[in-house]
Amino acid sequence: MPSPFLSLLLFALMLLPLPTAVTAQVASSLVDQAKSQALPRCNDAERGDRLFDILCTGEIRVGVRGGYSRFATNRQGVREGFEIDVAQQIGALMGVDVKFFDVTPVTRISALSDDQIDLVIATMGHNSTRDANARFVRPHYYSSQTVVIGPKRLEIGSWDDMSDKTVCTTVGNYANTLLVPRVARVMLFDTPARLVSNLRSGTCTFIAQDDSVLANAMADPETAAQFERKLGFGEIPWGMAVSLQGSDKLAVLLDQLSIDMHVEGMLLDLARPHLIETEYLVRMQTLWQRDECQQTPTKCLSPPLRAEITPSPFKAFVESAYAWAQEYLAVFYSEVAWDLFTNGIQVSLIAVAGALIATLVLSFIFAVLLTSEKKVVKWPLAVLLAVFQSSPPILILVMVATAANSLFSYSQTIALLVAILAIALMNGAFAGQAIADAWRSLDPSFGKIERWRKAVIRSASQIEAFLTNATRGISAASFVGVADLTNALNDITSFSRNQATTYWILLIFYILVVMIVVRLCRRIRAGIEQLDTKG
Amino acid sequence: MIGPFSNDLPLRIAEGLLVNFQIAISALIIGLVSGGLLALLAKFRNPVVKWVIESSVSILRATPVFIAIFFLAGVLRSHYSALETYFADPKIMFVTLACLPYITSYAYDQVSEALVQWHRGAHRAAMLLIPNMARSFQILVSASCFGAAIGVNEAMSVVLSEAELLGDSLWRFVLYALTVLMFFGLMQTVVASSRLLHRLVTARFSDEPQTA
Repeated sequence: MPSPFLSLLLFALMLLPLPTAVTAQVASSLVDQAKSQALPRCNDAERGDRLFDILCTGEIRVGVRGGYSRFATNRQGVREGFEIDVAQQIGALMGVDVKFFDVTPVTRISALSDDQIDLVIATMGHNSTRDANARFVRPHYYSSQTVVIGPKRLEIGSWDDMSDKTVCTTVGNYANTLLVPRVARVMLFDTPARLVSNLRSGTCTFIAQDDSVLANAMADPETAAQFERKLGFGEIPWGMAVSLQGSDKLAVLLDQLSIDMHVEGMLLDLARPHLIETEYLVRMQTLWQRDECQQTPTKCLSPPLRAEITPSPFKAFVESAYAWAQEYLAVFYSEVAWDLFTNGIQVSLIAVAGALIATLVLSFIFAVLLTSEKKVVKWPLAVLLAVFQSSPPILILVMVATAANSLFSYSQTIALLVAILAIALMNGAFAGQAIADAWRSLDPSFGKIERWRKAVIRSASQIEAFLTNATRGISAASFVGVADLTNALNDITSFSRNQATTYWILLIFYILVVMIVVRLCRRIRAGIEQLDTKG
Repeated sequence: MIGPFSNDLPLRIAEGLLVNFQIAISALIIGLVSGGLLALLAKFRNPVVKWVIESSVSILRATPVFIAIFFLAGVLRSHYSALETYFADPKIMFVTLACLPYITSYAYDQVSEALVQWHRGAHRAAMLLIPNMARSFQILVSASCFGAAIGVNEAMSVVLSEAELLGDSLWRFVLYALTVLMFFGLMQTVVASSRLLHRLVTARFSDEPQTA
């Protein structure tokens, strides 16, 4: 009877889909094995892997996009798209329900690490930098590439034909780094929708965008009648991903399920109804049906896209500048340090301005008194000025501060006024004497006002010298407790790791302030002297 | 001792003054040499050299001594122990170094002016370098008193610590007045000595007649 023949035929038929059967068996046996391991742990608070949590609760939490046409949409609670179907398929293969959660490109990885979801299937390109944040399931379930769309009537055979063309693209797109060197120029738009509308209106002859994004637009019969895909580049594989922590077994199972879905054409079948590009899925099915891929899957896994752009020398410069700032400017990272610093700068600038004004005012007062005809005024003042001129600034500072503290209760304002007065007394004494000397050297026949004007002009260089000296001298105000930059930086240094920075800032600040004052004084002096020449 | 002052106050002030003079003399010698060298270098007609020197001098001129003292004491604080191997009191060295920006820039200006006058044949005008440098010595003695801010045991530091001991009594003002008199006397002595030296030196030079 035909029984041996039938047996042989059945055996031969069984042999034909052998790879599929083998992989399906591997996946289902992995699920069964996991279920048997999960069962005794279901009452435990900590089960050791998310796979056991899923199998014990009978539910897998999947993060998906809510508004990515043809891949994952959520219209009034009804979820549709290729990725939704992939998630449902995985749930079915694992024998659990699927609970969807909305994620965005910003939240999709953090949702995994925060344990809000077990798996993410959300149009996520697998690039090398993301490996540090999530465990990608491989083989990848889809792949997109950037395509150049243009009018059908224009023939574009290769990139050479694009070298003189303008291409519209969206800003912030990684693939632009590959596109820019190959075309004459790019015109930038903010959204893919604007690209398509400009293509239709004729503003853009060519547009470049991810094919998954353009799938909807290209499905429009009117658009499809006029435009077509010209070139493709920058392929990026899309990966499902699980958390890096506590998802090892889940990841291994999903890897195997992904192989199964490629081998058996499940992904292809799920993609077709959504009218998305399936060239990659066809390619993957062919690849994963090969014996060597099933026996040693690592041989056939495609790598993630290398997202690192070859760095320029400028990158090294910026990084070293940043490292320098981290090392040396970290002293200002605390609020208390920053407040001290900004307040110190304000007080120092007030002190400098105050010292300049007070020196100028006192120098004129001293000059007037020194040229007085009353000896009772003139001689005691001359002695007093000689004392100011011979005494160390620090002694005058301390003397004035002691006198002020005997009369008033100590405060920051009093300390500041004391410092300004002390510095102004010393420098005003010199400048006042210079003006008085100049006044005496002038012919008394000049009118009173004219004689004073000429005296100021004649002593301008001395006035300038002592104004500069007052600016330098006021830096010692901290000695009597003024909360200027010197004091502020000294305070900051007391709780900082890097002390040199604060002292460098202090030095540079005062040098700059003095240089500005010198320049300002010289400009004013030049102006006054020019007026005199014209007069 | 008069009033409530410490018995050893005059001795300590005298020791402190020696420190002030040590700082001022060291700074004056180094500053005069470095400023003089810069003035000679600036006479070369190379515009790059001239620009570098003038820019450097303008920065030195703008550096306040008090800030320079703080800067050196702060930046070199971590090397303090190592510096003690070479200097009995590294803080004195900090103050001396802090005076250098001022005295170098001042010496550069004065030596440059003296060189110009000398080349013109105005030898007596060139000799004004002597009283001018004496004036800078006065300023250096005053500036060395800023050392009190970082704990250098110079004259002002002694006076201030004595004033602390006197509390709020009026004797503090007496102490300050005596200190003022002391500095006044010292400074006038320096001025008088420099004038005498200037007169002696000037007597040995005469100005060359100006050519048409």
